Amino acid sequence: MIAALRRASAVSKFAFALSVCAYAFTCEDWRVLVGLIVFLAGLILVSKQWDRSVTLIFGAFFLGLPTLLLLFILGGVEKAGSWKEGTLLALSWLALFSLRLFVFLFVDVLVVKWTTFSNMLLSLRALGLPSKAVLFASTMVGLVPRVFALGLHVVEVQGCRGLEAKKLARPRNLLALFVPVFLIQMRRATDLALSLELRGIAADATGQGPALSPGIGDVLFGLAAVLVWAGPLWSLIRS
Amino acid sequence: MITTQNLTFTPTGCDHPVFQDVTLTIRPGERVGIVGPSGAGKTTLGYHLCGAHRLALAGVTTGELRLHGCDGLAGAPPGFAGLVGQNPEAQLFCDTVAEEISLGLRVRNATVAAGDAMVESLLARFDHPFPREAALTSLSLGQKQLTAILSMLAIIPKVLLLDEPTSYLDAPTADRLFAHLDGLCRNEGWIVLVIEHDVRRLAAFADRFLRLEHGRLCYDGPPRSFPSQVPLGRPTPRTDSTPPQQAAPAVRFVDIGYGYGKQNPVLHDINLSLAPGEVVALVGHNGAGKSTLLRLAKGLGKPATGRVELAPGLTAKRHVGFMMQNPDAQIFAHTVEVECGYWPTNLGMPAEQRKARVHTALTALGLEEKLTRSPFSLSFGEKRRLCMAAVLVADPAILCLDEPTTGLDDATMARLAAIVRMEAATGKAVLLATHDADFAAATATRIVRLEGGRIVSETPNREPRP
Amino acid sequence: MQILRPKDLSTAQVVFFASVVALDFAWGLVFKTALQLTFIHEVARLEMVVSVMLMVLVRLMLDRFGTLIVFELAWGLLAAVLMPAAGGQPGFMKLVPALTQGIVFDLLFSLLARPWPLGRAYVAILVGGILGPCAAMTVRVAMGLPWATASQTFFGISLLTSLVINGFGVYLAILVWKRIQNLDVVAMLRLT
Repeated sequence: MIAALRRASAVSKFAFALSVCAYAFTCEDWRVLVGLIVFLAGLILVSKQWDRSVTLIFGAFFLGLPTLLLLFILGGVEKAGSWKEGTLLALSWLALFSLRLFVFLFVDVLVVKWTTFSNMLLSLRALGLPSKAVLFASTMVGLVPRVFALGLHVVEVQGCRGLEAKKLARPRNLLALFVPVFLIQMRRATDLALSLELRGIAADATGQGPALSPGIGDVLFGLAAVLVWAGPLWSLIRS
Repeated sequence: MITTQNLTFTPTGCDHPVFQDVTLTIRPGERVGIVGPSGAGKTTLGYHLCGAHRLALAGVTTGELRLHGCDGLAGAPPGFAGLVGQNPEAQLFCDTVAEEISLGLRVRNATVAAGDAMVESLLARFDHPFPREAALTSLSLGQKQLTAILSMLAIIPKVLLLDEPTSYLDAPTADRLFAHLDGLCRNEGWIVLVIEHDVRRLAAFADRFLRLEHGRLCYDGPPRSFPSQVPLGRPTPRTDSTPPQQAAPAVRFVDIGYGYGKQNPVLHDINLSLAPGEVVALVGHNGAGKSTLLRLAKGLGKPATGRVELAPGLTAKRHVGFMMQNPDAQIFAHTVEVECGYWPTNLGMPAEQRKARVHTALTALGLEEKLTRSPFSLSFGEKRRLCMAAVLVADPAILCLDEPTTGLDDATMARLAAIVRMEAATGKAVLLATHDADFAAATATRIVRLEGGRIVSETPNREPRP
Repeated sequence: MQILRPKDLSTAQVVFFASVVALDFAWGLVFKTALQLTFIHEVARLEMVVSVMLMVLVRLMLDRFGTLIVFELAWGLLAAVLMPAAGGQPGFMKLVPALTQGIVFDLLFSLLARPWPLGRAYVAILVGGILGPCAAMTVRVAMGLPWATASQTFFGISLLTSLVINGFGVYLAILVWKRIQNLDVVAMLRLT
């Protein structure tokens, strides 16, 4: 079952993610949200995709919690009129907010961990997006570590000429980092494009990729995207 | 066959052409060397001759260009030409060596087996210099350059343009490359165009030279008839190689061991010292550790074992000047003067003193008339000189120069060599990493050879090279 | 006679565009995450200076409607994938403020192209820089953040600081543009 779900197209997964996120906004029942979180976390664990990067994501959330807590408590106290009641109110709001946030994060992690890059590109092609969109996406992802390294290199080069982090607030020093990185990246882009074109990869290539054929995973994701709204729809009908 | 008739190219926004009225014919199997001073238009002409000008340049081309009988002004079809530019690192797209080399074949729907066979055969030609699954990010510049070249060889083009192909390659690899290309030209009819400053090396490969000067083709003929009275201006070998007084070393490397990660050791048991006034040239193959040693001298990295000792009172941050390979990585200011004065500005030098120092440094490098010009408008050679000035301006006690002659013509190289000798004469310790044996001979008091991260020889430079 | 510029994006322009988005993302990956750990991020999004510079420069180079929408969409997707918890908007919710900004930026850049070729950057970025955070705050309030005095105050301060930071970013971008606009590599990549 997990394998079938993982083989689903990126389009189905993304539609599922959007549906769950939209539902999380409307859901006020913490039990339902907890259930969703447990379900999504379970899927990630069972598929053995819970690694350090997932833990770090949640770590980043907890590190930002003090600021959030402050905002909620101040808001709660303003609403309730006393510190005790206000704090309790704030904590209940924060709990709901955090549950929603966890839903967003878990569904995001699920989609990302279950979607390979080539799978995503195939989906883009099948949707009829032009080759340049595919080239754009693959270049962008491939270049992130390289521009990072380029940035670090320029920091090092200018550091050899006395640039220090504490002086970055000065426009001259910000430009000393920005301009070389930007210009080098421009030249690299033309060099890389030339190399790709000579080897037959061009942005204006025509033709659509193979059509997506929905599998069990796509059907399941589609159903889940709809069923998650079953509760509210049922309540709406009954009322 | 490539034929041109009065070919002229004028870049967008420029009022004069980069090259004009170039008329020539290049036949299958020819090995052509394109030479000339920096800024002469060699690369631009090279792009036109392989039909890549529309992809790489913005401007207007007039005249006639025919590539294998077809009109070439609109460009050439994919697969016609292969090209490796001056910055091979920028051309790499994939994660591993094998993926990069086979990319052009995979795009043409070649089978995985065919791609693998091509990768294997090309790497075998160069004695497997690195594993096929090596990550591109882990390779040295020279290895990346080789990978870029192999990726173009893999698509089996009709014309191959190599722009400064030996700038990062060591001598044995460069020799193998030229031998392989020679075979392809003779046996397969490839046209190979090489843009190179090292005319001597090129003469051993090319059967025809094209020399550009001031945008005009001023020589088109065999290397043996290449006019010797053209002043190449090679650096004059040192004849006064008496080592300086045995003063306390300005910098000492003591039992240095260093690696980029535990799996990638680069330096082992390095013991080396430089006295003030000495010029030590580090030579060796790609990946031998030359640049790494310079970086350690500047404090850009902590040795895993051992230590770097500077003379009392010296700090890496203030007293070690490091000139890196790519001028584009540092140029940002709106004028040459401001660019040159960046380091003294960061040091808090008073404006008057800084201005005087900048003028002195720029004059020494022949850039005194370009003070108010935008540094982006300088030629490559001028930018390298600006970078040198930007280091000298702070008057560091120790100079580290990483491949200072890359992409420079003979005249600029000779000038640089003179400046290095002059700085050493004022008491600076100079440590330079270079592939250029002539430059090393012309500047160094001592030549240190690195192999596999170890010092394998250390010899005084007593014998002037012919 | 060589044809100077095709109307569709060339391979070089696509690669350049992708590299700028990658650059903005890499910058944000480090600084946005680091600043989010501090209180500063609630009132001043300092990392936006560089992001604004990149957006203005790429829009001046690929000067047509849609550039910044694609930029923001691509950035939002990258951020959702690679740093889902950073920046205050979790996961795919990052797309909401990103797209809002992108649409406003592109509309104003295109509408004001004739009267203010360079000055339009200020208008576009400042207006978009207000509406984008408004969209982001709307998402957070919809998630359950109390819209109380404290939140309103911090939000108001962050909008004011946004104006300053974004304005500074535009100023620097125009400074850089004036230095580089005549370079050959810019001529090669420019879409006008």
